[in-house]
Amino acid sequence: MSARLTLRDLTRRWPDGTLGIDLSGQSLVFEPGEMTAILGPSGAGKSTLLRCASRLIEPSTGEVTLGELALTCLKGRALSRARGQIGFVFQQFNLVRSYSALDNVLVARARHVSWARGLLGLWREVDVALARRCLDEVGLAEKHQSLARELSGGQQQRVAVARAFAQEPQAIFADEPTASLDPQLSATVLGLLRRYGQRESVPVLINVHTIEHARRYCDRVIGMRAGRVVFDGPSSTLSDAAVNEIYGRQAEEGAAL
Amino acid sequence: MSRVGRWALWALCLVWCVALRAEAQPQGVEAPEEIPREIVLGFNPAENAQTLQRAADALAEALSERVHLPVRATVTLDYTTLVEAMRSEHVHFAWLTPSPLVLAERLFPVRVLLTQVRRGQPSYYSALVVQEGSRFQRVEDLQGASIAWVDPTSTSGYIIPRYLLAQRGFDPSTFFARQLFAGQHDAAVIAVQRGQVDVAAVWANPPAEGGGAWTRYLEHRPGPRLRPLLMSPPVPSDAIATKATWAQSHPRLVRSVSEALVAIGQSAEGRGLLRRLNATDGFVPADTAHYELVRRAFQSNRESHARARSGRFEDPKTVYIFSALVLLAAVLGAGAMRRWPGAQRAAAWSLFGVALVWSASAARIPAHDFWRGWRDIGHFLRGMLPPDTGVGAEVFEATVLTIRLALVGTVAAIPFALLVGLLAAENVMPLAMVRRGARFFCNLDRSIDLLIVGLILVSAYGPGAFPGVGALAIHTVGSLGKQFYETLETLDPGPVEAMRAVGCTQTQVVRWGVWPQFAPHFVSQSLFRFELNVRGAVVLGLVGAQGIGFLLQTYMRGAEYAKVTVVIAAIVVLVMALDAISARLRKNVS
Ligand SMILES: Nc1ncnc2c1ncn2[C@@H]1O[C@H](COP(=O)(O)OP(=O)(O)OP(=O)(O)O)[C@@H](O)[C@H]1O
Ligand SMILES: [Mg+2]
Repeated sequence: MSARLTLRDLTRRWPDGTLGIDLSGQSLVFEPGEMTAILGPSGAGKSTLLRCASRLIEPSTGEVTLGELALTCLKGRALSRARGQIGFVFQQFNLVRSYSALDNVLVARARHVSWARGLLGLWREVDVALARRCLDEVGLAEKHQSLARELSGGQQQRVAVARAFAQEPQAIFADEPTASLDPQLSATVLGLLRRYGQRESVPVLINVHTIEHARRYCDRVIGMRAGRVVFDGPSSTLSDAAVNEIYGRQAEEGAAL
Repeated sequence: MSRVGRWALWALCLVWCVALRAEAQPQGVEAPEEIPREIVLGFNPAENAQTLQRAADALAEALSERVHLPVRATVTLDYTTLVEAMRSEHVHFAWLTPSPLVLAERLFPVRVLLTQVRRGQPSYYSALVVQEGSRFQRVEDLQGASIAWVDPTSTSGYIIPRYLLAQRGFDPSTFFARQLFAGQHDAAVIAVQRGQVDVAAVWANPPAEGGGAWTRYLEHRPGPRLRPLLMSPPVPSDAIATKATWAQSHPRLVRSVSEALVAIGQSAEGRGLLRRLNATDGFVPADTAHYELVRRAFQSNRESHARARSGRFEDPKTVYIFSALVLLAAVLGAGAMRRWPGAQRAAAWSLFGVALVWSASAARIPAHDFWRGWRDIGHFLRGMLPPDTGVGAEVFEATVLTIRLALVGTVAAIPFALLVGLLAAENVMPLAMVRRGARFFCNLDRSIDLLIVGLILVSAYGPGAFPGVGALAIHTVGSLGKQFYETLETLDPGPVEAMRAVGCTQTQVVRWGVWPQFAPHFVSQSLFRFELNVRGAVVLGLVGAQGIGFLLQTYMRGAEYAKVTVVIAAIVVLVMALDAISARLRKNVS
C-alpha cells in the first residue's frame, strides 16, 4: 500500500497578488520510504508548499496526487477524509491543551470511524489500542492520561507525532517539527519520523532550518528560494556551495557571526 | 385546463358555498342565545393591581351567585389591553374609565350599560385651582400663567379642563406660558401650594359639597390654601360596557348581568364590596348621551394636539442649536480632511461645549427647590423605617420567582445563542453570507433593550411571568450569541488546523478543534449572562412581568414604604450574593 506523492505545477498566489510558491513547469515526485528535507530562508515558501500539498490551503494551480488519489480534484467530505491520508506535524504542536495525550491521539481516528462516532468520540477498542501503540512508539507510554498542557514542549511534540502516526497516513509532512526542541529531542523526533517512514514505506517531507539534520536524517534535499525550487538532490550531494546557493548571502553573514 | 383556470373555479365554488350559508342563516328570527362557559369581567388597574384583583374577584363571585354562571375577573396591565380584550371577546363586560371608553368606541361599536355611582352621584367634576391669595380671578387672567396637569391621559386632570378652555375660545396648547405633568393629583396641588406653578387641573367634589383634590391632599400640609377658579359641568363616572355585537347576540345575558350589578349595589353586603372598587356606591343604567361631553372633550384634544404638533417644535431654539451643532460637526469633518488641526480642535471643543450646555438645560435642575426635594426624600426614608418584616415570606417567594424566571429564560436561550454564535464565527462557518446574516441578527436583537422587548411582550400576552421569560430569552439570544462569536474568533487556530489535517469533517473540526477551547468560555459567559438576567428580571417586574420588581412597584404605588424597604434589601442581597457565587464559579471553570 505504499504510495508515491507527486506535486505538479503547483502555485499559490496570495490575495495581494504575490506568489507564495511557484512550481510552474516543475514536478516533484516523492518515493515511498524516502525522507526529504526542504531547506530555504525564511519566507521562501516552505510552509506554504506543505500546506498546499495537503490542501490545508488551496493551491492556485497545479495538482497533487498521492498514490491513486488526486487530492486536488476533491471537495467537501471526500476532501476532509483525503486530508487525513497525510499526517501533518506542526511547529506549534497544535494539541488540544485541555485534553489528555490519548484523546489528542484518538481524534486522528476520526477518518477511520463513522461520522457520528467521530463526532461523539465513540472510539472503537481497536482505535484506542492503536492510539496507545502510537504513544508507546514515541516513548510516552506512561503519559497517556496526562493533559496536553501539563506536558513539556518535547513531549507535546511527540504526542503530535503520535497523532500523525495514528492516522495511518500515506505520507507525513512535518513543518519545522524541531524548531522549539533541544538538540537531543530534535534528534529523537527526526529519528521517529525516519523510522516510521521506512517501516511503513511512506514518503516523509520535513521543513528544517538545520543543515546538519538534513544531511543526517534525510535521503534527499530540496532547496527553496522565493517560492521556487533551486536545489533538488540526494542529501549527500548538498555541498556548502549548494547551501550558500539556497540561502544566498544570509548564510554567509550567518557564518561570519 | 390551465392551472389558473382551475384555481379560479375553486375560488368560485368557495364563494358560492359561503353565499349559500349566509342565505341559510335565519333572518329576523332570534337565534337561540349561546351561553358562554364563563363570563369575564375586565378591569383597568387603578393604583394597586393586587388589591384591585382581590376586590374584583369578590365582585365576580357575588355576580356569579346571582346569574348562576361562572364569572371571572381579570385586571389588565393597561387600558389598551383591556380594550383589545373586549374586541377579541376575551372580556365580556368591561369596567371602563372615560379614556378607554372613548378608545374602544373609536375601534368598534360599544354599548354602555351602566354608570358607576360615587358619593351618591353618577358623575364627578374637574376644576382649575389656584392659590387663595393669588391675583387670578377669571379664566382670562390665566393667560401666560404656568399650569400643572396630572398626566396626558387623565380625564379630570387634563382632558376635560383643556376642553373647557377650548370651549371658551382659548387654544389650550398656547394659552399657558409653561405646562408640566405632575403625574398624580396630589403632586399637582402641591406644586400650586409651593408656588412652582400658578394653577393645577384636578378632580373636584360636586359644587354643592365644595372641595376636591386640593382639600383632600392638602388637609395636613401646612402652607397656603387653594381655591377653585373654574368648575366643569358634571362628567359621567366610569362605565360598564360591552362590545355592541356581543350584546346583540347575548341579549338575555346582558340584561341579567346588568340587573344583577344594579342589585348588588343596592344590597348591604354588595355595597361593602363595591366600596373597595374605587369607592363605588353602586350602578345606575347608563344614558349614552351623557358620555357625549367626554367624547367631545377627547375629540377636541386630539384635534388641538394634531394642530399643535403638525410641523412644530415644542422649543423653537431646537432648530437653531441643532443647526449650529451640525455646522460645527461639518467644520470638524472639513478640518480633519484638510489636516487643519487648529480648526479641528476648536470645532471639536465647541461642539462638545454647546452640546453639553444644551443637554444640561434639558435636565431642568430645580435651582430654588433643590433642597426641598431632599426634605421630601427624608419623608420617604422615614416612612421606610422600621421595615415591615411581616412581608418577608411574600418577598422571599417573589425573589425566588425572579431567579426562576431568569434561569429558565437564560437556559432556553443558550442553545439558540450557541447556534447563532457558531454560525457567525469566521473560524466555524465558512460561508460569508450566513455569517453576515447571523451577525446582523445578533446586533439587531441586542440593540433592542430588554425592557423594550418586555413591554412589547407584555402588551401582547398581558402581564405575567411568560412575557418576562420571553423577553429575557429573546434578548439573551442576541447578546450572548454576539459574545460567543467574538470569543470563538479569538480561539487558537492551531487545533482547528490540526483537526482539518487529521481528516475531520467541518462538524468534527468544530467538535474537536473549537469546542474544547470554547467550553470554559461558554460556561462562564452563560453563567455571567444568567447573573445579568436575574438583574434584568428584577427590572422587568416593573413592566408587569412577575417577581420582585412587580412587588416593588405594587408597594410603591400603594405608598407602602415600610414594605419597600424589605424588597430593596432583598434585591441588594440577591444581587450581591449572585455576584459572589457566579464570580467564584467562573474562576473555577477557567
Ligand atoms: N496568509 C498569507 N497571506 C499572504 N501572504 C502570506 C500568507 N502566509 C504566508 N505569506 C507569505 O508567503 C511567503 C511564504 O511564507 P511561508 O510561511 O511559506 O514561508 P516559510 O518558508 O515557511 O518561512 P519560515 O521559515 O519563516 O517558516 C512569505 O513571504 C509570507 O509573507
Ligand atoms: Mg514556515
